[in-house]
Amino acid sequence: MYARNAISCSGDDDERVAEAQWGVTQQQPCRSNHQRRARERDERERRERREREESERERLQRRARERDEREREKTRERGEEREKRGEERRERTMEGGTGAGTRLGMGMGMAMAAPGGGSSTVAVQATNDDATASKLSCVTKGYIYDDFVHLFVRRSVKRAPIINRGYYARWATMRMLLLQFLESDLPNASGPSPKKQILSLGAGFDTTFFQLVAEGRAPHKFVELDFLEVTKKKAMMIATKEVLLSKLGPGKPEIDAGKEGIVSERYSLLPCDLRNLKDLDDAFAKAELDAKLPTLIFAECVLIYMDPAASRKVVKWCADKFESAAFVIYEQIHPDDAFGQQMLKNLESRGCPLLGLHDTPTLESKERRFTDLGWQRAVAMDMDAIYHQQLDPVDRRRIERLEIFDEFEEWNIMQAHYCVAYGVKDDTGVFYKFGFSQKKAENVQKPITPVIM
Amino acid sequence: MSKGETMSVPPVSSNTHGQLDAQIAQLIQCKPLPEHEVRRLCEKAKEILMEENNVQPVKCPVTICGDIHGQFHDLAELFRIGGMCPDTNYLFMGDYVDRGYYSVETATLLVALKVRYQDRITILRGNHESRQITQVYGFYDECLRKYGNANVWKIFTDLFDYFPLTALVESEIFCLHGGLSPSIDSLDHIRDLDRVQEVPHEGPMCDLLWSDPDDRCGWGISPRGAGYTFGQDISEQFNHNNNLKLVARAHQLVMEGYNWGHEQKVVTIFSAPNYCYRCGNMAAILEVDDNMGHTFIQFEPAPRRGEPDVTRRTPDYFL
Repeated sequence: MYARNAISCSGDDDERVAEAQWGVTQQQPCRSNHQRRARERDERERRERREREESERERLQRRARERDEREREKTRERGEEREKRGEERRERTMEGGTGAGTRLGMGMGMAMAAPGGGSSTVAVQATNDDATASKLSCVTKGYIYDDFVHLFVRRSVKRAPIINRGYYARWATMRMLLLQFLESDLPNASGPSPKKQILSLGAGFDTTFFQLVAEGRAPHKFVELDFLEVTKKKAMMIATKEVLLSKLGPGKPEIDAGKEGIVSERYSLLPCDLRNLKDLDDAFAKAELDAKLPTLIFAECVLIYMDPAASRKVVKWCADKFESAAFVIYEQIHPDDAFGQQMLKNLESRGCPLLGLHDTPTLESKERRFTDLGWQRAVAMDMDAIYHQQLDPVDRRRIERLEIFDEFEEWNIMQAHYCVAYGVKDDTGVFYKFGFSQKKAENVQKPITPVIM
Repeated sequence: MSKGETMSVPPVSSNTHGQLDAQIAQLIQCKPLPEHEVRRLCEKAKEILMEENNVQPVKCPVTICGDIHGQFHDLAELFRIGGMCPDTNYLFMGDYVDRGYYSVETATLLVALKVRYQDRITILRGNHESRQITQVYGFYDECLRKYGNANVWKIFTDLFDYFPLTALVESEIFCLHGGLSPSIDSLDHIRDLDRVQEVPHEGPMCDLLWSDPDDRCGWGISPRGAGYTFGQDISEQFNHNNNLKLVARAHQLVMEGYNWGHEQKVVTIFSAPNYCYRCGNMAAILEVDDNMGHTFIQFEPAPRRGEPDVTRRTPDYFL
């Protein structure tokens, strides 16, 4: 077979699969004319379909590129216009924006996405709506608790048990690491715990901050970054809901949903295109993050949508910026087997291809991305292993009884294609105990190596 | 076939066939039948199925198929590759509904073929042919969506109670959806079961539809919460006791479409390619010829011919 990069030539990929299949079926004796005719007809149809799809894909890729370019153009124009007039235009309603914001607000991200090619920022942003709806489905079924996510979902949906269970596993893993961090102390410390910061990259409509406040566990600072189109909507929702607004802290929050986001004493929500490090620097300054405080950085299904060069810059930026930190990611692995190839195709047709998956296709490569870019140690574990080895068995048994579950083979395959990986950089010792329990030895333990970009 | 008909059914059988053939032609295009036609079809199917045995005898040649799960276009592909019924005899091992987008069309077509060619096609019961499971995994919701009420779901799930549990090809190949049961030593045990009921949560009938072969010996607790796992020793003993050569079963996704187990005492056949539009797996069917020779035919998802009703919606992931 051809050793080619599947994401860059998925058209050829189809061809390869079809050829492989014909290799198989042609070995079978054609026992009747109608079968032979049917096969010949199918082959012809496949060939025609392939040709149609290829030209269609090219067309759609071009359209997606043009659309993204138009979006950028519009955003630029709007920004310039505002600066020139020196006025702060307030969006009339949550969905009252123009350009890209309108599209996103209509929840049409998915429908607008280019099937079969091209990465669209709108489609990537729409993954947030999907994830938020899935979390609400989990809450409704009793898998997880969250008092606020319903405020961010317009229309609730019922997800299949496999999806509910998968979001549970993700939530439980993230929460486990989050609480470890919040409860961690300096070794041999006797005084109060050190102040801590959380930085959530591509936070979407995540409600962790509000949940932590409600539980009396909020850290010193909680900063969320996402595309302007997302932060704008989230800020508007927070600003209009007292139950959320009241969680922002004692001081008066600065809220400018349209542009600046939210800055308050302990919570900031800021627009940021992670592909642009200057955005990150600006957000760091605006949120008044402290480089010296222990910081937990989250990125759930975020870096994987980015070009590898860009995501590597983000990983390095975080290592450079914070003296003592852990960076936790949740994202896909294994693009090369049958499930992985189908996953790439499906998400590509949705307009949000996993641009970074071939760069870090394995657990080892996820770990190495951290250790290559300024993190002292790194661990990656697939969700199948995490589910069985790391999560609380009592709670696992509880959720396993919530719904009839008959998707075992698919469940195992799907969980094996997601992982949690973290890198730790710490000279103070506050992250001494942070991470998965030692049921699996940490794979990579290396001194800091020169950064390779 | 016409006994007990009280509706205004034409009494002449060729007319009945004419209408049935028209219905099959419509279904083959993935167009569902109106509720009253589904009702009449299922009444006829019930009369045929209630006469069938819990261990329904089947003659070769026959093509044995596994899970379909509402992937109608892939079922059509299966027929293109395996030959249309009645040119090819078929034995389906259950799980026609749930998961895919076209459970209604899939179940209706298979039942229509059963009514039209009752000796040419055998349709066994799978664990998804159940009232409880279909309410979780999609068939119920699909019926509501396509008919505006749950009548068709009720009609089908009532009919599922009559589907035979297992089949026996030329006294050699024992076919069923799930697997063996610790309560069952011989085929006669199965023949004694009263099958006309909802799939129970436990017991022999449940096990036949839920169990899985396993690498470990003996009986094991199934992670599914129903049925058991059974080892090679169990399969060997069962085949030996009943003079069988092979247990053919479905129920589990296998990436190549078929998978031998227990040193060729058990084979798993799965006929839903790219299961749930997500798994990327091949599908397979097993052709058993006049001399009981085996040929597996693998196939991939049907080329989607740009049907406007094929949803562009991608399957769910964790995003």
